[in-house]
Amino acid sequence: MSFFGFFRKRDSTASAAKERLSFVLSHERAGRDAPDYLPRLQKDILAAIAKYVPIPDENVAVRMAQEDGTARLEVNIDLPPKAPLEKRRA
Amino acid sequence: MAKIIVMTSGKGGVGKTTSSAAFAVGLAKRGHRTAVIDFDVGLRNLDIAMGCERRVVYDLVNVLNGEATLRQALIRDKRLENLSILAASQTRDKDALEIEPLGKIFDELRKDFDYIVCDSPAGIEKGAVAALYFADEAIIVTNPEISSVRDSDRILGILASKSKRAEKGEEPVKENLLVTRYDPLRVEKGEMLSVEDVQEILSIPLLGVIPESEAVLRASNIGQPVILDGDSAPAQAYEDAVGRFLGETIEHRFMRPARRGFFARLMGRTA
Repeated sequence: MSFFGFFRKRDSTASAAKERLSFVLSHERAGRDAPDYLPRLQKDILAAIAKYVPIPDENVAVRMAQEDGTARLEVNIDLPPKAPLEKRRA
Repeated sequence: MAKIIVMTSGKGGVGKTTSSAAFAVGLAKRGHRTAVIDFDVGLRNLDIAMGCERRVVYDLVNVLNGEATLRQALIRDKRLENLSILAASQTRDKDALEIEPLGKIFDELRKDFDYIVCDSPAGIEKGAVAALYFADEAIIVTNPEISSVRDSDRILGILASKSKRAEKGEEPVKENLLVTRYDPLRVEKGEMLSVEDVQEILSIPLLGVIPESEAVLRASNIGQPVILDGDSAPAQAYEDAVGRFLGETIEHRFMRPARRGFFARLMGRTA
């Protein structure tokens, strides 16, 4: 590595690439064996939640996990943080 | 027993055809009866890479439709007598490739050849699936770049689910990683994913690393597979990869930058 290269390496674009790649692949691999109805299920769950509390699309993650011959449906919902008490009373 | 190899990647322009031509020539040079088939119907280019574009009379689709025999469609290479090329059709579309008639062609090819190299089209549609369906081994051609690695991961998923071996529940298609257009200097500068990164992410065995080189375009210009450009780095890298594919133990080369002078190193300049 060159003298100047030493400083460049710290915020190298290659490590950013690796991180971004790892992120997209972890999502895509999870969805690889997923049944076709999963996106529609996710949409319906989102619609049901939206009736009570408005949340953005990306706050709901639905995935199918296979373990020892059983399939598990994981639904992960990030709800918005509760408003402080005083504000709610007002 | 003949072996069917698919050269695939998902992404276009990463070097599938260059690698198919190089591999086929490398296998034939070592005395194996080899056929290389272009599956890129509508966008054929293997004939150009092999330098036999003027000798194409019949193509793969002609054979599939019974308009020509396999013997008529196979083009004998002028450099190596045990190497034949089967061109893709330029005028039809990828949907022309049906699995069942393709199977019959492969049955015939298996009798006359030791290795059948299938040059896959880009994408994950019918043409790409047809190219990988009968494969015993897959060579995944990947550039050290995010979209290429992502698409390679996708094609690995398709190999594991849509190949004949997967459908029949047989032993899975053997996967090999071929990293192309590699620039060790840029890797050292932190500007390019390293081969170790790519391998870690895809987690398949590394077959070879082909360095970025001007020799590849020169070879394409004259229709001579780059593996025949003896002194060039990609020629040596392809030779090594073919050797490893055949089970030889060959240390990896071209993964580190060529040695440069002290001053050049200090300034971090490209030689």
